[in-house]
Amino acid sequence: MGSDFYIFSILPHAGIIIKICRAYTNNQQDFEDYYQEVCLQIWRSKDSFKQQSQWSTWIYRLSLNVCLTYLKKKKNNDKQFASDSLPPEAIDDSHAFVDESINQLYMAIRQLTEIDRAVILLYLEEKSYQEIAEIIGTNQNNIGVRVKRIKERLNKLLNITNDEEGG
Amino acid sequence: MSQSIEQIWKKGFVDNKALIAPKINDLYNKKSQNIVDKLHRLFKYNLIGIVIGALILLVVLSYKGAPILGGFLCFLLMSLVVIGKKQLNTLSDINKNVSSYQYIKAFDSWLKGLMDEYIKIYTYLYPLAFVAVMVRLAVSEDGAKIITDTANHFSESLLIMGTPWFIVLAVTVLAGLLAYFAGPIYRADMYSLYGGAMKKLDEVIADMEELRK
Repeated sequence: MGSDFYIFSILPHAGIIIKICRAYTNNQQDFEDYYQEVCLQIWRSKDSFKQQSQWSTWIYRLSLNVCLTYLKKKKNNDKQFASDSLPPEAIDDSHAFVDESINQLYMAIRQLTEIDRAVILLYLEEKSYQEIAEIIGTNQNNIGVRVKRIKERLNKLLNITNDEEGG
Repeated sequence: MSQSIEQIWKKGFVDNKALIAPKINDLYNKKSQNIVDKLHRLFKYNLIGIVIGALILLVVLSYKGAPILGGFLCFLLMSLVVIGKKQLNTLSDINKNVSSYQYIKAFDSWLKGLMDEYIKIYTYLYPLAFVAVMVRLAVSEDGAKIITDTANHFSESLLIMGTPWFIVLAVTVLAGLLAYFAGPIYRADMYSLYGGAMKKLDEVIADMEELRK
């Protein structure tokens, strides 16, 4: 990969990739592997970018597609494929961010299904329901209901976590 | 917790330092772990392996005095390579720059199409290869002796082309079983390699389809 492409086209949007990859990984090593894979695929697919959408939206789309079809290395843990609802004790990435609340939120997000993680990440990034539906390829009408349900689940998970910590 | 998840998100990422990109080295030379790329690589190596194996088989069997069998098996394997190469080329057409649903569905239908195609091929390939080996054994010096001895021992038995009927039946039944079980054998092989990924894809598709209703 040309370093110029990485510096000028990917790095300014690294935040998007980091936020998505963190939601699909449970430890630093996996996160770095996913991040590299997404960057590699962006570089490989850059010629297929058509100016119909923004570069950042295109990165969201591609990052999600890559994370959804990433094959985790054998040495780590094959459970990743069936890891729709990871128990908190299986997650070794609880201090990825400086902000403790974000770490807790990510812990809760990682317990969602693959698609719910994508929906909530896009929602939190202030994408409209229409944009979320377009990126994921689903019906816009159902996104609102799904977001509501995911938020309820996250609130519940966060409260449970807090209660446990408190008591 | 007093804050909403939206507030946590905004507050957590208000400072860009919270998002530190990992250092990446020599990225271009890293092997992709994406399932599409990985399958592409695996099938490519498989096809090269089959070509090498077919040629070795041809040379070895010719050297051992069975050039017709070697040529036939080589022909069967080369047919597999031609069809496999055709399938492999279509894998490159899967575009990552589409919605997640389109991407996952495109890959899923490619994978299922590939499996169906290979099962069809193996349904003929396994029994044909088996019968070819059996025929070669039957016409070999040792094989012919065994068949003649058996025919003499069961002199009352019906002979089909000089071979006792039960030997012909056994070979036919075994060839039939190979044809019948070609699908499960191939599927088991694929699931052992990619069962986890396939399960994940099925779950993601099911979830997306629920959202599309």
